[in-house]
Order: sequence, then C-alpha cells, then structure tokens
Amino acid sequence: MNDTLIIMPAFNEEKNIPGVIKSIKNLDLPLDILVVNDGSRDNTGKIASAEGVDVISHPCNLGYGAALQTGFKYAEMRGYKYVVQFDSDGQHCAADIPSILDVLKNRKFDIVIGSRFLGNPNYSIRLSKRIAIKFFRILIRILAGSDITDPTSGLKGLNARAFRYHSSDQNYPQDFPDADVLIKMLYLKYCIGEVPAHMMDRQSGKSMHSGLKSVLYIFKMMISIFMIILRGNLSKEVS
Amino acid sequence: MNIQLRLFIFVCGIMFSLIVLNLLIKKRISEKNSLVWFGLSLCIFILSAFPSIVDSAATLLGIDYPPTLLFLMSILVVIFMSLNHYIQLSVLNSRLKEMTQQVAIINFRLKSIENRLGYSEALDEDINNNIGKGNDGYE
Repeated sequence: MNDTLIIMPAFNEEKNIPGVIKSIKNLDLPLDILVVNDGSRDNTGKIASAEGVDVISHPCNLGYGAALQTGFKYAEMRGYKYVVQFDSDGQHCAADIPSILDVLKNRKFDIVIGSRFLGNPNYSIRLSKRIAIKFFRILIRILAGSDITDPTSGLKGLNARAFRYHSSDQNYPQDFPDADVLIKMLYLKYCIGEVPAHMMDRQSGKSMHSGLKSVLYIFKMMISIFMIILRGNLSKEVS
Repeated sequence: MNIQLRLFIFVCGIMFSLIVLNLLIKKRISEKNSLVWFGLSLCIFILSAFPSIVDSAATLLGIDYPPTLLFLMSILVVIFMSLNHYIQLSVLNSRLKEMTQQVAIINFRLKSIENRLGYSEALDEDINNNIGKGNDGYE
C-alpha cells in the first residue's frame, strides 16, 4: 500500500475511464487508484477493474459528493495519508498530480486545489461558467478572506486531516461539493492552497452542469453557504 | 350547523380513529406517529360536539365567513404534515446514503479477501450445490 490514494468518482464513464486510468498509471508514481463506481448503468465498474485498479461500486446512484465521500471513508479506513480527487471524465490532466502532491506534502497545506486560472488567466470557458466562478471567488474573498482563483475545480489534493473531516456523515454534501465546502473549511481554519492545473474538455458524454440546472445550482449553493455562516455564528455563540 | 352535518362529522371522526387504530394494530404506523393522527381525530370530535367553537374563533380572528377558518386550518395542517414528511425523507435519505456507502466498501473488502483466498465463482457454485444436498438437519 502506498501513502497516496487517487479517488475517481465515476458515473457512466465507460468510454473515458480507461484512458484516464492509463494516464495516471503512466506517471509511474507510488499511488493507489480507487474508482468509486456510483451506480453506473454501463460497464464502468468492469472496465475499470480490467484496468487493474480497485473499484468500489455503489448499489445505486448517490451523487458525485457521496461517491467522493465513499472514497474518503475508504482512505480513512485504510490509513492513507493523502488523497487526490480526480474526475474520471477526462477533463483533468494526470500531469498535474505531482505538483499537487508536492505542495500538499511539503508546504503544510490541508487542501490543494488544481486551478485552471492560476498562471493562465485567459483560460477560455463558457461565459456563464466564468461568471459563476467569478461570483463564488468574490464571495469566498468577502466571507472567508481568501483568494481562491478556481473554487469550482474538482481536482483537489487533501491530507488526512481534511479528508477525515469530509468522511464523517454530515460533513460533506451528497450532490456537488463546491464553494460551500471551501468556505466551511476556511472557517474551520484548514489551510487551502492552489497550484496551476490544465483542464480539458470532456472526451465523451454530457457534463454535470447545464441549462436551468446551473441557475438552480447557484441558488442551492447560496443557501448552503448562508447555512454555513449561520451555523458558524450559532456555534460561536454557544461556545 | 344542523344536526345531520354534526352527525356526519362525528361519524367521520369515528371512522378516522378506527382506521388509525387498525393501522396501529397491524403495526403499519408507529405509536409515536399515531399521536398526531389521534390528535386530529380528537379535533374532529370536539368540532362535531361544539361547532360554535369555529364561529367564536372566526369572530376573534375577524373572519366574516366562519367556514373559511375551517379550510384555512385544514390547509395549514396539511402543509405542516407535508413538511414533516420532508424532514423524515431527508433523515431516511442520509441514512440510506450512509448504508449504501458502507455496503459498497464492505462488498469491496469482501471481494478482496475472497480473491486473496482464491475463492472463485466455481467454488461459490459448489458451496451452493452442497447446501441443498445431504443437509437434512432441519427435517
């Protein structure tokens, strides 16, 4: 067993996942890879197993956040020191893993985010997504006093302290962990850093966020952030 | 309120209590959850016995047409119960999530152990076949 686990939540990603696993294996680093197959209806689980990685399969679909949390629970159970969450749809670049791990291990950060904007401010994405990211970035700066250039990035490295906190029941959203989780972690005095990362367009299939859903998503996120602030203030008053 | 209507409401109350009691006996609802339904049937009884309560309450709240108060109250009760169901659903959902995650992890660990022990599907079938054969312990 190595001390680092790559967690790849996967839902119906049979087309993308073999390439992604190969690209991580090609790094030739001392890493274990875990695919959390979140109740896929295709052969994601079998195909990932055939690539020689560990696969935990949910009997039914629970959501992206819950799949990640299963990975955190497993990492805690097995005593891993570091985890990197890595999307299985091919949008993250395996070459960014070493720099994330380097910063995580040597610079005393609890969470290291792979940011697509750091060192590349002109990175082109859809306008709506750009506005949403900008909005959350400003919100985090106002509420938690930290400048995080890419709060919606799904490429993150976490140390044991951070993923153990996430692995406990109510501490992680079941659907999409996002700016709300970052604000909460900053409130709880976890250190969050960023490294530049490359993101690619999806190789195949449909993205998680699109259309009206993304508008509702922003509202849901606002409520979630508001609750974190409210609970934070309440617990301060109690203690 | 005429006597027929009062009688009708009273019968409704009785039917309602009997349904709740029946569900309780069959263990289809828990004692704790039955409280609110018994409370509701008690309200129906009280209303059929003293319909003037509605009139006085309506006057107190400044409602011109007393029956609207009844509708208002029923809608509020329904909304409250719906909210209560949402709460229970959320609780069940988070428990289900936890269970599913645990089952997935345990399944994975079980398979790893089986692989390490060289436990194949053929062996699995073998064991299943043997369960049926020569096992007359329960007969």
